[in-house]
Amino acid sequence: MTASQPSILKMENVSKLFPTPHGPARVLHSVDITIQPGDFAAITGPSGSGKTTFLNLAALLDRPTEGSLHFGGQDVSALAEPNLNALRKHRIGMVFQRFCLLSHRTVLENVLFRFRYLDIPRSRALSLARQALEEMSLTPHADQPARLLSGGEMQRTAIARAVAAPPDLLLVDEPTGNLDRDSAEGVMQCFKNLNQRGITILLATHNPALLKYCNRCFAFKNGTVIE
Amino acid sequence: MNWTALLRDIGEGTRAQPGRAGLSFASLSIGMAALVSLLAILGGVRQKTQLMIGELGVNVFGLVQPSETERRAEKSTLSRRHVEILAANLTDAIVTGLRLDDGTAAGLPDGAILAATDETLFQVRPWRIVRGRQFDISDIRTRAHCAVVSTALAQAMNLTVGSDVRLRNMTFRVVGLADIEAGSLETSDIRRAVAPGNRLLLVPWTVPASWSTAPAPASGRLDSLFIKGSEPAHFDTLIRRVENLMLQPDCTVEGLSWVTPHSLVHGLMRYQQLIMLAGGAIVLLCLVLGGLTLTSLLLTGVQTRVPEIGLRRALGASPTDIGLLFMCEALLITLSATLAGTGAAWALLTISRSWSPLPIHLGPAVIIIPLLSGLILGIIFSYWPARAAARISPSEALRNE
Repeated sequence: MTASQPSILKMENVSKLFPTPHGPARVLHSVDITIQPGDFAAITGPSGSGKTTFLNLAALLDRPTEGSLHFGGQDVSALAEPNLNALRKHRIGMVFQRFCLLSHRTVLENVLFRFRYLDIPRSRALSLARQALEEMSLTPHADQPARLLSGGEMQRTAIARAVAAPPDLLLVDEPTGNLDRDSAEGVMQCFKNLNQRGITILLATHNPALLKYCNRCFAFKNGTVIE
Repeated sequence: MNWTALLRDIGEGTRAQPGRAGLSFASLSIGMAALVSLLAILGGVRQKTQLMIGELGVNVFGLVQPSETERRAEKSTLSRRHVEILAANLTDAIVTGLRLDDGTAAGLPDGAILAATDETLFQVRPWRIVRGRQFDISDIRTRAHCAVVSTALAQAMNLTVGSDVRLRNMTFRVVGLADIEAGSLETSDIRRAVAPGNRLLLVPWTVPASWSTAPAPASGRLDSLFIKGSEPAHFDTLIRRVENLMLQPDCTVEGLSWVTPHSLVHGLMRYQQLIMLAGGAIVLLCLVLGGLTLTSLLLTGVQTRVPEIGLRRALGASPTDIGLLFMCEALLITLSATLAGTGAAWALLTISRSWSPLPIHLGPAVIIIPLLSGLILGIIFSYWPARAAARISPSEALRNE
């Protein structure tokens, strides 16, 4: 990383309001965060503190009500929907708490789903998917339906899907929330390895035990953030 | 567009709720089969109408003398005098007439018709001389013992041009063979004087009917008159002019039947309307039921697949991609139901065509219209669910994960 390299994600004075029957509810208050390439940053805080809203903004799935949002040095606050889609498709990976796997498809097919909206030849996609499965030690399960996997294997499948087309930013929401301790350790080790390969990771978690894997930590409370 | 992946997604979406998908498929298939049957029958009726008009002749209409009236009042029968009066007044039309006699009594085979006419019949009716010649004015004036025979009767009697045919005590020389179209007009509504069938022997009407065993007919009696107009645009005017002429005191004939293209179509139109009402109601009911089941299937699919929609959006799918996915699922069901219904109906109609009392025509419209209907139904009934799916906020969808 060099000083001239732009930040991967930069939020300046970002606020997010949601309409409610009792008037707009402010979920994020003037958040300022900069994530640099190569960071492994943790987002912590109690439920309702704004972590998921922050992740949705970082994933370009939502837009800030106020403030500016930069992705890879580009102001994306008012970017048109097709351009946001393109950024999500090519540069962002997501891992969810409940894995979000297609249960009736095999492990390999789930990983291949990463390429569903990418213009990549089938043979290339297959090669990348097998490589991702290999990295997650899931090759023996490649042809197994996803519903038959253990929780840890499911999460590693979800990670393989997210990184099969290597993203600039990997967003992870409560990755160990549904896992036992051993599985959680295995999953976190996977993230650590990915970060060491240069993938920037932003991880939202309740679990303080996971902070040891991260080099930065942002604490959310009532919609505000402190590093 | 990754078509393989899209097809896979569509297939999985429809298989997720097999009960509803099956019900929708069944209703749409039945609806499409009913639509195909309806179109085939309507096409058959239309074709039959065209054949009937074609068999009568283009720009031709006829006047037919009912036989009971003929028996009641001989003086009010159609006769060659009517032909002369009409021909004299209608210079832009050709007028001819036909008198039917008992062919069997004259010595012809069973079912053969013996008819007397003049030299203009073949200019009016769409019958075609295939060998030899038709009568000429000289044959009519000299009462020549010549005959024109239909090819069907000629084959049955082993006759050809130059052969002699004996009608009781008179011998006639065959001067021509004619192809006589028959079949379409032979319905219960149409008299034999208009559609005498294809086993026909024609002789000049000036030759005395000495072969007839019936009481001597009035001089020049005819069973039907045929008038052919020269201008299609003035055809209705021609009919009105003939109506006016036939109202003149010396021309009036009681109980005259008018056989016009309109009267032929009118009978079939009532038939057509009945089929359209009954068949159309079944088609509409099945298609609407199938369509609503399809909408319900898709709406449930949207609700249960919210996390999947969120995942797709997170992976870069646009709202259009999501909407298209649900629309394609609907199109898969409607088009496969269309193919199944059309195929089944086509097979049944092909099998039943030979014995069905209904006219059936299996033309390209029988395939194209159901396919277009399936396409339109798929789009209409999936529009709302597809729009709902496309408008789901990805962040909300993933919150449901």
